[in-house]
Amino acid sequence: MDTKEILAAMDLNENLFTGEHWERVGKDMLKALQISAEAFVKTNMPIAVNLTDDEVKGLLYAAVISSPELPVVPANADAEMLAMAAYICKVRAQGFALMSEAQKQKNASIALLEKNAKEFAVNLGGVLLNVAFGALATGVTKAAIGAVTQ
Amino acid sequence: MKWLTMLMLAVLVFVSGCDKKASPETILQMDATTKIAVELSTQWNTRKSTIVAAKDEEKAILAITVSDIGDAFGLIALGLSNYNDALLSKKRLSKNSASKIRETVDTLNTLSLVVPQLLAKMKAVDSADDDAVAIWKELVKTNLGQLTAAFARLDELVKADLAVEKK
Repeated sequence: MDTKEILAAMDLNENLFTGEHWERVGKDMLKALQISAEAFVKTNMPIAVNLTDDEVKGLLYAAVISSPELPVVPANADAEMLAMAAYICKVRAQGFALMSEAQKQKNASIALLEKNAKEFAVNLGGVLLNVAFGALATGVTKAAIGAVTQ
Repeated sequence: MKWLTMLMLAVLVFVSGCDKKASPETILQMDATTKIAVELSTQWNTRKSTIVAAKDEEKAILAITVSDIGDAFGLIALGLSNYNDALLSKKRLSKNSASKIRETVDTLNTLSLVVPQLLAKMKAVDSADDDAVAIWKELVKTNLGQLTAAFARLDELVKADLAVEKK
């Protein structure tokens, strides 16, 4: 059974899916069907193959987010094809939004770290300046005391 | 404590060094693109409940499609707003972000093929809104065209920023 036959058996428009990526999707679906069929053999359930819509959607979702490949939408696409393309665009938009959230948090963390680093440098500078002035004052005082006692 | 701070500074230098600096033009383009995306998302999502498929047999599937496209527009607007904030706080983008921007150009190109065909299959729920829906459809198509063009320009600028950093 090839990808097109699997998709057709699931009432999905097979023309929408072309190329190597969708062949892999087909293989994932085939694997899911095999697991389902094995379960049938073990339990002797009346329905041999029973993938829910959510399971099919889950497989497609996993396939879409793992690949940048988009379906080819012809000029006179039917409602089903438009629906599937819109769904894939939505999933890809989710990937875009997730990556942007990660970048936003990363940049905010770097900005905060830089701010803290600057404050630390200023504080350290202040401490070093205090130590230097202290040492200078001590030296001057000792020299003055030495001069007076001599 | 001092050593811990020094370690954090080293991590900071490493992490920020992995990202690429965005040019002022990229930052401006990100802001402009975000505004168009937010407008389109609002435009779509405020009116989506007032349209329905012209054919009865397509009503269910096209209602989901309208909703999915509304979600896609909303997520693209959200993503751009996040990138806008990211560039305002620190003018840098990662290579992965640049790659996602590239992918989203393709997503928008596909949406540009899907949306006009979808709108052609839709009509106003209330026939009294026919004129308003017709105007809305044209506005959506115009804004989507503008967003696609603005996003493609943004992608070019991000790519140029990466190329400058490589030199």
